Amino acid sequence: MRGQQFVTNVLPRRGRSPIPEAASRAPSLSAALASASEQFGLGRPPGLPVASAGPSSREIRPWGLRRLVRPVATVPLPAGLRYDPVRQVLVDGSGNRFVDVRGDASAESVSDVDGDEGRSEDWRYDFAPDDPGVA
Amino acid sequence: MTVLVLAPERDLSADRMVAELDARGVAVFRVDTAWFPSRLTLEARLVEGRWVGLLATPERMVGLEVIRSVWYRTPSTFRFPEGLNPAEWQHAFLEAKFGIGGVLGGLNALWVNHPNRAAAAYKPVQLAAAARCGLHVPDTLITNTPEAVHGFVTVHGAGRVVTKMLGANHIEERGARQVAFTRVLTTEDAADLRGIRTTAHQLQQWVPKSHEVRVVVIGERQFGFAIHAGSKEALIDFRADYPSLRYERTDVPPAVAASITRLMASLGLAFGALDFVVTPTGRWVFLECNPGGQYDRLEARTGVPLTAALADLLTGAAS
Repeated sequence: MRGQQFVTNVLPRRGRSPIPEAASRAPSLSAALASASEQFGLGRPPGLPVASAGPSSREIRPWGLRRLVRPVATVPLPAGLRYDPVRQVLVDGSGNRFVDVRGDASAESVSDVDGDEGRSEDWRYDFAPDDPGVA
Repeated sequence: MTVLVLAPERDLSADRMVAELDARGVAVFRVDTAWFPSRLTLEARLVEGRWVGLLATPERMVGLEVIRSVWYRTPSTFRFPEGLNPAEWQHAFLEAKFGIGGVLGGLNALWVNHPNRAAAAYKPVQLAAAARCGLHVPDTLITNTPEAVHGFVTVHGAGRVVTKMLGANHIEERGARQVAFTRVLTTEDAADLRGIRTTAHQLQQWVPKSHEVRVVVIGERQFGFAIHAGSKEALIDFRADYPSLRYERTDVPPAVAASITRLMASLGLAFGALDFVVTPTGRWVFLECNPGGQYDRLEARTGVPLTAALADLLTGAAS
């Protein structure tokens, strides 16, 4: 049936070796792909301004960036939360652990920005690991 | 024994883990690397082949030699004194990264996950490894040529190909954040491929979908969660419409579970959130593995104690 095959080789016209065979020769995934400076990936530094540059011309703008959408707003964390360095958790204005008092334990744990890795403002797994950001 | 948690200050999963470890009476030391150097100090000496010394904040300190495990939640980038020029900043950044990252990475501790496993974030690596481990994977094309895109669409047919980001699915532009969800390629999309040559693009066949499954792997344990989409948008990319989603526990077929175990070993991961499509005929098709995948919502919606399972792994209670 059309579209029902589950194979990885899609370049038969070139007559080259299937990609999986070549990949299987990689001795070590990390050694092959993670540069030295990538090996302790850190998140985006807090407080960076949102970039203001506009899109480039349609001729060179990456095709994958067509049809971008604005993320759906998520409910922000309540105001007044602070990190308690002694208790090592966020606490509210009364000093209660936030994880004990918030109503919906799943709130803010996901978003449409980078949903599978968490809310971008709080979890920055997807930030380029070797990009130090702006000083 | 101490569990070291490397996480940003605003990380509710880390908060929950600290609470869990506190309740167990396990010592936990939580650090955000953004505190370095102003609020975080490191003194490490190499003694008989082991790093010993202290990692300290104004409120707490931990001996490197008592760290049993490290939970790596992508802590924030170091914050250096104002006034460094860009070259000085970059120098300080790399020295800190190699110094702190090197010492911590060299500890004889269990890492969840080890930061040197950056390659696991490469989705093409994951797909190839998954296929070698016996998982079904979608037909996938990564290219920067229009010809290859046309060929792929011809094979699968219009409306049966999706485009997906290989890295972050969002960018910042004009002062706002914008998102690129997985989406089905239209005839109009394929007719105008300007910009394809600019960079690599990923296209995959559209896999007929009954529902999706996220398998959360914690050490040797696997927890399957069916994710049922309640809207057209969520059916294509569940991140597009979280409110419509419904979650339930589901068993992982033994053959799939065995392949997942091999894949995790291949990628060197102790934790992962793996996404699958389950077709109407019941076939599980691997999409990707998120080495830092979130699980809070799954735990909250289903009651499965994932935080406790992670704590078991970090403290050795799982072995």
